[in-house]
Amino acid sequence: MKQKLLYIALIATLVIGCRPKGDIYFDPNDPMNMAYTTYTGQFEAFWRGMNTHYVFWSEDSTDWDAVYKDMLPRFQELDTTYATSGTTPDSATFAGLYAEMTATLRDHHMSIQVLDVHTNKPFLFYPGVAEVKQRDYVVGQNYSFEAIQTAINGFVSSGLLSSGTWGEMGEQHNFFGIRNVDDKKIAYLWISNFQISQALSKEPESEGETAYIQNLRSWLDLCIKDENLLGIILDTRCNLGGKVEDLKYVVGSFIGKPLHYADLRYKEGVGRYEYTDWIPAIIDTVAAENRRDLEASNIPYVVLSNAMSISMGEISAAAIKQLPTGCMIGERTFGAHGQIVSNSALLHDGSFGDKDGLHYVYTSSMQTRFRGEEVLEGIGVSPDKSVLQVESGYDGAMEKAIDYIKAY
Amino acid sequence: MNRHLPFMRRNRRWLVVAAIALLGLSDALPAFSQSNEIRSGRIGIEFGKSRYGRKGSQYKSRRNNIMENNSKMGFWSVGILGGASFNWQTREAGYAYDRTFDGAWGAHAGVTGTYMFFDWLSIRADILYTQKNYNMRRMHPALQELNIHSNYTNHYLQVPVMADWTFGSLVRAHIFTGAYGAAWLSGEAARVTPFNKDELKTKYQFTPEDNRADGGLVGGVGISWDPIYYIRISAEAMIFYSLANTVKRQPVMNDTRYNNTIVIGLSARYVF
Repeated sequence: MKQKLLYIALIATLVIGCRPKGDIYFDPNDPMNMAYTTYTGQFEAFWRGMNTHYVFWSEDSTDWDAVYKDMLPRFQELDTTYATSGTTPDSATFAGLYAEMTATLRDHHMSIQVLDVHTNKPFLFYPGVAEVKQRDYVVGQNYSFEAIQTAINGFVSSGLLSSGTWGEMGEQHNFFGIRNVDDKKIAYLWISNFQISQALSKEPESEGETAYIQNLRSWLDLCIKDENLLGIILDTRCNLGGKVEDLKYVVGSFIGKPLHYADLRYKEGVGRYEYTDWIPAIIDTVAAENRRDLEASNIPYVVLSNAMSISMGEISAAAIKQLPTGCMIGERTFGAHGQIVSNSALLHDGSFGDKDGLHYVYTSSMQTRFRGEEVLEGIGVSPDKSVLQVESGYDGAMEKAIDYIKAY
Repeated sequence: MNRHLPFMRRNRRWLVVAAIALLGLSDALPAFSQSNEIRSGRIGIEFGKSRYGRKGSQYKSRRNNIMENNSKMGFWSVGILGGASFNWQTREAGYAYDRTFDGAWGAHAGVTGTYMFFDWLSIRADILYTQKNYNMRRMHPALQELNIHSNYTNHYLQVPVMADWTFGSLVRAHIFTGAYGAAWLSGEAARVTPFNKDELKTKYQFTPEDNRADGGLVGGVGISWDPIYYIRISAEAMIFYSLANTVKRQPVMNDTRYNNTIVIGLSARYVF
C-alpha cells in the first residue's frame, strides 16, 4: 500500500512539475531592491522596475528584452573595469548607456535620475525632451519663459491685445488680457502651469500672487458672465502641465453636459501587459451659475499650443479641441499625456525608485487615449490649424486665433 | 485477493445492503419499470431502433437488456452535457501582495462521444464550451473602501480525450483520465477601479503576451444510469489541470498563470 502511495505521489509530483515556475518579481519601490553596489545591479534594478512599472509597453516599439540582452554585458564590463583598475566610467559613457536604452521609449513624462554607484555623481535624462528637440519644427526655436514673456508683451504693444496684466505665484506665471473688437471682447489667458484650483483657494501673500489669482478670476468672470464676450483664447504654449482637476475650470465651465474627452487605463498587476480596460475620463459641468454653455451661446473657444505645451498643457488643448465651438491652433504638442498618480498604493505602475537614492525613474501611471484618437503619447496632439513658430513666431498663432474668432 | 478478505468480511453486511439497494433502486425508478414499456426497450424493438431490436423481436427484460448492453463491445454513444464550472488560477503574486485571486463559477456545456472497447473501458471525446472565470480583489488596507476588483469571464473551447474506466452494471461508476486541448476564445472583465465606482464591464482585449492555446490533463469521476435501453444519463465531475501558462514565455522575466477548472454536470447520451 505504501508503495502505491509513493507511486501516486511520484506521478502527482511529475504532473505538477510540468508547470514551469515563474520568475521572482521584486518590488521596485522596496529599499531592499535598491541595495546594490555595482553598475550591473543598478542596471538590473532599472530594467526590472521598467519591466513592471512602465505603463506604455502596449504602445511602445522598444524590445525591452533585447535591451536586457544587449546592455547587460556592457554594464558588466563597467564593473569589470572598476574591479581591475578602479576606473569609473566617464559621464559620456555612463549617460550614453542610459540614453541609448531609453531613446525610443514613448513616455514623454519620463525622467531618469541615476547616481554613479561609486562616485555618487548624478546623471539626469529626459528621453522625451531629447525626442522633441529633434522635431523639424522645433529645431532652432526658443521655448523659454523669457521668449514667450517677450512675445506676450509684444501682443499688447502691437495691438493684438488691448490690455493685460501679469501675475506671479512662486515660479508660476500667468497673463490675463482683453482684445476689444468693436464693442465685443476676446478673453485671453496665458498660464505657465495648471494650478488653478490651488491658486483660487489660496490667500495671496504678495502683489504678484494677488495679481495671479485676480487674473484667473477676471478671465473666468469675463468668459462666463460678460454679455459682450466674442470669444475665448486659452494660451497653453510653453505650459509645463499641472493638475488635471483644473479641467473643470478651463472646460467644465464652458459645457452644458459632461464631456467624455478621453479614456484611461493603467496596469493592475506586474505583467508587462496586465492592463485594466479603458476607463472613460469625463469632465463634469460646474454649477450652473459658474458656467456658460459655449455651444448654446455659439461662442468660439481657441486654445493655442506649441511643442512645449506639456502634459496638462496639451490635455487641456485636446479637450478644448473636442468642444463643438473649440479650435486648436499652433503646433503639435510635446506628447506627455500619461497621467501621474502620486498614491503608489493605488496602481502597479508609474514612478519607482528613491529620489534620494541611487536611482529614481519618474514615469506616467496611466495611458491616456483622447476620444477618436490612438494613444498619442510621445507624438503629441495635432492642432486643427497648424501655425508653426518657425514660420511666424509667437504672433502667428495669436493672429490666426483672433481672425478665427472674428470670422466665427 | 486475500488481503481484501478481512475488509469484505468485516463489511459484508453493508456490501449486501448496498447491492440490494442498488438493484432495488433500479426497479423503483420509473424508467426501469417493466410497465413503462413506452420508455423501455420494447418500443425500440418495434421500431427497430435499439441494438436489441436489430437482433430480433424477442422480448427480454429491461435488466437483461442493460446487462447485455454493458457487456457488449464496439458501441458508440453521442450526447450532450451541461453544468457549471469552477475555475481558479495558480499564479505568482509577484510583489503585488495585496492582490487576491479567487475562483469563480461559470457555465459549461458541450457534446460528447464515446466508443466502448470493452465493458470496462471506453474512449471518450468531448467538444466543450467552458468558462474559466476568476476574480481579483485588492486587499490593501488603504483601498478597502474603494472595493477595487476585476472579475474575469473567459470563454474556452475545449476538446478533452479521455479513457473512461467503468465499473458496475445497472448504475455504473466511471473514472476518466486523459488530456485536453483548448482555445481561449474571448473574455470580459467587470471592474471597479479607483477611477470608476460603478462596475464597468468590457470585452477583454488580448495582448501579444496572452497565450490563447491551452492544454493539459483531465481527470474525473461519474456515475451513469440507463433509464431507457438506448439512453444513458450521467452525472460527472472533472478537473482540467492546465499545463499551459496563459502568458507566453518571455526571454527574460516570466509571469505564470495556470488555470485549474472543475466542471460538474449532467449528460444524456444516445447509445447506438
